Amino acid sequence: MVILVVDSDSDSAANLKRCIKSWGKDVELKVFSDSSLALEYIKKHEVNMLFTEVNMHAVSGFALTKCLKEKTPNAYVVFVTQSEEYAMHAWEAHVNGYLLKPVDSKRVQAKLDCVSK
Amino acid sequence: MNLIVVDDEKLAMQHLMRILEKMFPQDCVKGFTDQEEALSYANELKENGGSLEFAFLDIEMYGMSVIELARQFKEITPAVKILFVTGHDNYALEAFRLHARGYILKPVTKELIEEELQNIEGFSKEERELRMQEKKQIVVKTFGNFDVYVGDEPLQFPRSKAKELFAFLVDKKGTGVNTAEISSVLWEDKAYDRNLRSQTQTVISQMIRTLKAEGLEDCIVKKWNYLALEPAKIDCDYYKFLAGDVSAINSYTGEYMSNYSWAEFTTAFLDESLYNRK
Repeated sequence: MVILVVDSDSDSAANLKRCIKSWGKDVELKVFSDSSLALEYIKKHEVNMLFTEVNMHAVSGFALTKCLKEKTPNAYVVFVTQSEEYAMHAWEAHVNGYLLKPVDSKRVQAKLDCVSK
Repeated sequence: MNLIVVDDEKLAMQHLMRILEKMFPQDCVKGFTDQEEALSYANELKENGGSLEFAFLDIEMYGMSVIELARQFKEITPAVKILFVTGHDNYALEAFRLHARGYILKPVTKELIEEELQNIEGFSKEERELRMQEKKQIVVKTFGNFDVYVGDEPLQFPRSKAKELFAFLVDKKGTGVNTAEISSVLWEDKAYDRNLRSQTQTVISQMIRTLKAEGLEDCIVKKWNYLALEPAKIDCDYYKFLAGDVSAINSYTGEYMSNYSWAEFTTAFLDESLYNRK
């Protein structure tokens, strides 16, 4: 399983990376602080799961979701963000999960469990 | 499969029920304006071994908060897919926390529901249509007496001649026949006059109507003075035999459409095929 973490805030990204690593299962994890690089990666590689911030310079979480879902409709997308203001739009974009920062390790692992089923 | 709609506004509940009934014509859609009744129903289903697959809940309901209602449905049936249907967007975050599978803003339309289902594995339009087709598989047994089954139920033809006609088309393996030919098979010794032609046409209509009642009319091709079976649309032991299917070959014990004398040519052919295989 290939998991992408995209967030320009390196602390948040590191936190999320820790949660995923401590989940224990064998996954390929890629972390991007530059969302345009993340977009390029998504276009060229298979990605099964995406944890992404919404508001980012250049490419937004929504744009990444759109690209990924067009390519891999079953890909699981989780927004990880400060505010709940994007929640409704997230539903419309068929985002699968929405976590508020700072993330709780248990919630992250619950999402990981959803996908590995 | 069971679906449930819970909305304290009766018109909204009925509107959504109608949409779902059209999208899931073979499944059971129930609607409730009362939350307690809805939960009782979910419990009842569980006790009787039924499965509640989807619950569409409106968020503005009085009484129990709809978030609480969703939790209770999940407690009864953990695998139930909850979709919220509401006029407000302020429960969007909470809905994520509950692992809901959809959040739809009213007014609800078939397109909005279709869009949500497209993203739920196993319930996209294509997957639903495929399931409907699978259910309606027509199974034709020719070895021994001729019989037709839809799912597990034997298909009853109103007249034995209508059944015999279908058998004849199966025997023809997709080759078309005209009314005169049909007549000569169904009424061996009778002259093909206007009366007989009319009787034959009646039998043809009866056969088609029987199939249509089961949604199976597309296994027949009908044109003017031309009737044929679509071999690909049926599951048939004779066709499987011809395709070399081992279990079909083994199931042949010398009897093919034994109730029809005209079938003896094919029987001879099958015997020879079997002999040649040894």
